[in-house]
Amino acid sequence: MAVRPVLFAVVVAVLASACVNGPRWEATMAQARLQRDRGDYGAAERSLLDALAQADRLHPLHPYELETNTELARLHFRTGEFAKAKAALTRLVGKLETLYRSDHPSIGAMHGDLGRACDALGQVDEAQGHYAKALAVALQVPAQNAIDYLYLDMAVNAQRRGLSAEADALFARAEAAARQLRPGGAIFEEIRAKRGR
Amino acid sequence: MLSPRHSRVLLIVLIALSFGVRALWLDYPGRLAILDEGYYLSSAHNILGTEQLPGNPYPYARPGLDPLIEHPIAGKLLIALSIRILGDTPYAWRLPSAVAGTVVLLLVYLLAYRTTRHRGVSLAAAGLTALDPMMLVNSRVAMLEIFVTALILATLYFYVRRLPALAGLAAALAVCVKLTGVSAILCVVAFETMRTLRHRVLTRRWSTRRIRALAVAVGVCAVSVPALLWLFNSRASLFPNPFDNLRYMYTHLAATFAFRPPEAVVVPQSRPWEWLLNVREIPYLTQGVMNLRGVYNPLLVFAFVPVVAWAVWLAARRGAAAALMVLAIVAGCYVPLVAGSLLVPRPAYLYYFLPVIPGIALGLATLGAPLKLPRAGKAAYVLAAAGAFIYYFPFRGWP
Repeated sequence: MAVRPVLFAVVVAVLASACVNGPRWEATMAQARLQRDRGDYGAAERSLLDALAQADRLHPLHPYELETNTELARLHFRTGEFAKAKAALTRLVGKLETLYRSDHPSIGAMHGDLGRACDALGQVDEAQGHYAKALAVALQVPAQNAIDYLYLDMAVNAQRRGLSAEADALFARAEAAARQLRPGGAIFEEIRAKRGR
Repeated sequence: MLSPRHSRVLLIVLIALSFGVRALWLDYPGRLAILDEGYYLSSAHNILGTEQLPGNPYPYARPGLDPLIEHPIAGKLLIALSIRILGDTPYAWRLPSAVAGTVVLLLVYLLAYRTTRHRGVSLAAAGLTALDPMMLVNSRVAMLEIFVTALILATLYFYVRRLPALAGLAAALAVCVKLTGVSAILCVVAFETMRTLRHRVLTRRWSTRRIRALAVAVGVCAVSVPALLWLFNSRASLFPNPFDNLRYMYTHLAATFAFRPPEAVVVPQSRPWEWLLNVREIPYLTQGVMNLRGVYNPLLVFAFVPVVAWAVWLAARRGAAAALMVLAIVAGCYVPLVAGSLLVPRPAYLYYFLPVIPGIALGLATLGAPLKLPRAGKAAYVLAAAGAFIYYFPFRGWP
């Protein structure tokens, strides 16, 4: 007869373990954003990891999980921890590709970020693969996915891979795209500086 | 006392009139999604691979799959099936709801008759349900509430007809339409628990027959939910594994607090206790001659408290099946939402109360019948309810 109470307790425990206090998760995320904006990146990371631990109790495709990983990736980019940023972005892209078509602007933008993270880590060939995926999307939504900056990053990547002709062509495309999207923007200075390296 | 023939004729007239009102000008105002229809129609169109309406909320959905993953797929498949058979027209989008809304009335009649054996009372219960504006509105839009309501009533009807396996199957279908469809099996559990406990108190013996029936209903439901989900999901869902699907929906329901800032929420949110006051009306659509207002008939919703109090008294004193049924509907469809709202302040809407309306109508008709009120008084109540229905009727002219 002791089986029934045990079974009942197991069911309650399983259901409860899959519950997350929504207001608590939102409060943790708000606190993390505040800490990040104050420049207290260590505290922000701790808060985000706490939020991620809460979200990890939910389904891997739950929006809390997606949002927490996005914030973590942003923070790691800001602090220059590219290996951590790459890990968070890889998790995110996998989840988003399960949910949406691969031409979703966010998936394209994340491939661009993954390319940047790989470049920063010296993984130039892997970066090039991500840039190619990002470009396929950015060509459809050039302004939304900042195609001029994407061409610029691709040009720098080509330089690093020793492909100067390809790099020149990409710098030219970055300039042409920037002329259409943001004439007179700071990107032109950046293009000149990186081209001259 | 109505003769069987007269009651049958009256029931047919009621059903025909109600279906007419539900199916009338379903294509008005053209190819425009009403309230949350946009999500369900986008799902159906994506599953079928047909052209989306303007303002598609899922422009990057994976082709052939249901993008609205926080709800089970069955209701959306039903809408998709209707579009596949009848073509991509507003009539096809909404006809399943109109049929389900009419079936609700038939089930209210059958349930009332099963619990009272009184044809006049059963007709009154079905008639009062038909006079509810929210019931009418939900029977005219391609959303999920009316399917769930119909399946909850079907579950209860099969159960009192001593068909517990069918009851379990209907309850499983309710869960496959919307996770809140779990109310169907909760209603059965509440009904049988109250009935069995009363029997136990009176006789000091457990009724094994009733406990067995409940076990069959719950068991069939528990087995059928994953089996049906697996079947429905097999071709059009992101989740081939039904348990994975259930986990996603459960965690979404359990954890989601609010993704949008309050100023971005267009549908008025409310708490379950506010529903009893009929406040925070849902403005479904106002366009041309149509004013589709999501609000309950005051003559029904304001009767909730007296009906429940009266049902508690009758259930305790006499064990009246109708009183137990009213309490079971309240216990299965309303109490969990109150408890959930107290635990987590997640969004809730006035139309969540819809499955309780047949319970109130059943209560008013069955519990009110023995009251020694003049017949004119009862007729005046029904006329007042009809007046409120006309006041809230969605059309203010000929389209």
